[in-house]
Amino acid sequence: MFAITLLSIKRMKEPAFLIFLSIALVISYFMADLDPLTQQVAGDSIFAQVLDAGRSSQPLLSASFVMFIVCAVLGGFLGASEIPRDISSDLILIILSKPIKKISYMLGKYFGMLIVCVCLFIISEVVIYITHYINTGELYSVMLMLKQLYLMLAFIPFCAMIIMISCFTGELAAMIVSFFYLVFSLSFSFIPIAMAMLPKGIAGAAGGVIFVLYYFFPNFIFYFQDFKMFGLVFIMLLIYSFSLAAIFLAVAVGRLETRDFSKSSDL
Amino acid sequence: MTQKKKTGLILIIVPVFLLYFLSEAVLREAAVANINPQKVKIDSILNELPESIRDLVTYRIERTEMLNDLAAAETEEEKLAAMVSLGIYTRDPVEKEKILWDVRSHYADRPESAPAFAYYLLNEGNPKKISIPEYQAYLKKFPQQYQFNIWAIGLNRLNDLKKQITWKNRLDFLMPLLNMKPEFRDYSVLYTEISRIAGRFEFRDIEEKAEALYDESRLCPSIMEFMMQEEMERMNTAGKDGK
Repeated sequence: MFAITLLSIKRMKEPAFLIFLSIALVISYFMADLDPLTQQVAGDSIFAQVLDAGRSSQPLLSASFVMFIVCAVLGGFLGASEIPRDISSDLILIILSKPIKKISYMLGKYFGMLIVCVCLFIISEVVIYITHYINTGELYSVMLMLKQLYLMLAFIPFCAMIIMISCFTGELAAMIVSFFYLVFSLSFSFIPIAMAMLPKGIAGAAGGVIFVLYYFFPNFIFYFQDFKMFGLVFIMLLIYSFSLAAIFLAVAVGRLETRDFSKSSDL
Repeated sequence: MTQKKKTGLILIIVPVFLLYFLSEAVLREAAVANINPQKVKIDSILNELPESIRDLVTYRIERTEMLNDLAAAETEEEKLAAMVSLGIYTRDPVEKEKILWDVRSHYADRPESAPAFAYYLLNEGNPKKISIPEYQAYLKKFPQQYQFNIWAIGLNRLNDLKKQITWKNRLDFLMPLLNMKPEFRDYSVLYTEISRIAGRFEFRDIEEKAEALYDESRLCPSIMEFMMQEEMERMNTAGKDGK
C-alpha cells in the first residue's frame, strides 16, 4: 500500500504537478489579503449565516476558501486519472500480479491523492500567511491559521469520492463525472438549510424524495460552517469525514474486486 | 469476491453507515440551528429559480405560511384574518369556495369578512351569489369608518367583472352613498366615481349631488386620523383607570 502511495506521490515531481502548484501559488498570493469570507457574502444570505454563527472568533479566510476549491480541482484532476490510466496501460495487471491486494492498491492510490491535495493546500496556505505578513507586518494568530487547516478534513471524503468514480469510468470521464458530482454535491448541500427556511409542510412528499437524493451527495457546506475549534461539531466533522470516505472506498473496493481488468486492456 | 470478504465488508459498512447518519444529523442540526429565518431574505433564494418554478414555489410558500397562521390563530379576530387572507390567495377553487363560504356564513356581522361577500357579489356561476342590494345590506350594518373599505372592495369586485356588468350597475351600487352624510374625507374618491359615471350618462342631478357631497367630504377628517384619535382616547382612559 505504501509503495502504491509513494508511486502516486512521485507524480509530484512531474511537470503537470509543478504547473498546478505554480498556479495555486500565484492564486494564493493574489488572494492573500482578501477579507474573511463572512464579509464577502451578502449578510442576509443563508450562506453568510452558516459561516458566521457566532460560535468561534476565528473566521474562515476568503483566500483559504478559494485555495481549497483550487486545490480540490487541481488534485481532483490529478487523482481522477490515476486508476483509469493504470487500467488502460495494463499497469494494474502488473501491480496486482505482485502480492498486493486490490484493497491495498486502492488505499495506496487514495492516500497518494490525499497527500497531494493536502500538500497543495498547505503550501498555498503558507503562501497566504507569508504574503499577509509581508503586506501588513503582522502574522495571523496561531488559532486562526489552524482553523484554516480544518478545511483539509474535506479532502478526506473528497479524495475517496474521486477514487470511487475513477474505479467506474475512464480517465477523461472520471474527471468530468467528478466535476459534475462535485457541483451537484454543492447544490444539494443547501437542501437541509433551505428546507429549514421554508414554512413547515411546504415540500410535502417531495421533501422526503429530495432528502433521499440529498444523501447520495456529500455535504461540503459542513466544512465551511462556523464551529468551536475543539467542540462537538469538530468531532462530528471528523466522524463524518472518515465514515463518508469509508463508504466511498467500500464502493470502490467492491468495483475493483468485481472488475475484469483484462477486458479494459488495449491488448 | 469471496464470502469471507463480503461478510467483512458488511460488518464494516453497517457501523460506518450508522456513524455517517449520526454525524450528518448532528452537523445538519448545527448548520441549521444558527439560521434566523427572519434575517434571510427568501426572495434572494427565489430569485435564483426559473420564473415558472419561482411563481409556483412562491405561491406554495405563501399558502403554507397562511395555513400555518390559520392553525396558530388563537382569537376569533386572528382566525378571521387568516381565513380571509387564505380564501383570497388560494388558487384552488374548492378550497376558496369552502373558506369564503365559512367566512360569509360565520362572520356576517364583521366588517373584516367583506372580501368573502365581495367574492359572491354578482358571481354568476355560483349558486350562492349575492346581489348588489344584498351586499349593500351587509355593509350598512357597520359604522362609516368601516363601511368605506367595504365599498372600496365591492367597487373593485365590480371593476374586475368588467364587461359582465354595465356602468349603470356600478352607479346602482354606489347610489346609497348619495343618501348618506359623509363623515370622512376618504369617501371623496367614491363621490368622484359617482360623479364621473353620472356625467357619462348625463344624469345631471346625480352628478351635482355627488359633487356637493364630495365638497362636504373634503372638509371631514380622514378615517386614519379618526382611528388614531379614538385609539389615543382609549389609551388615555385606560391610563386614568389605571391610576
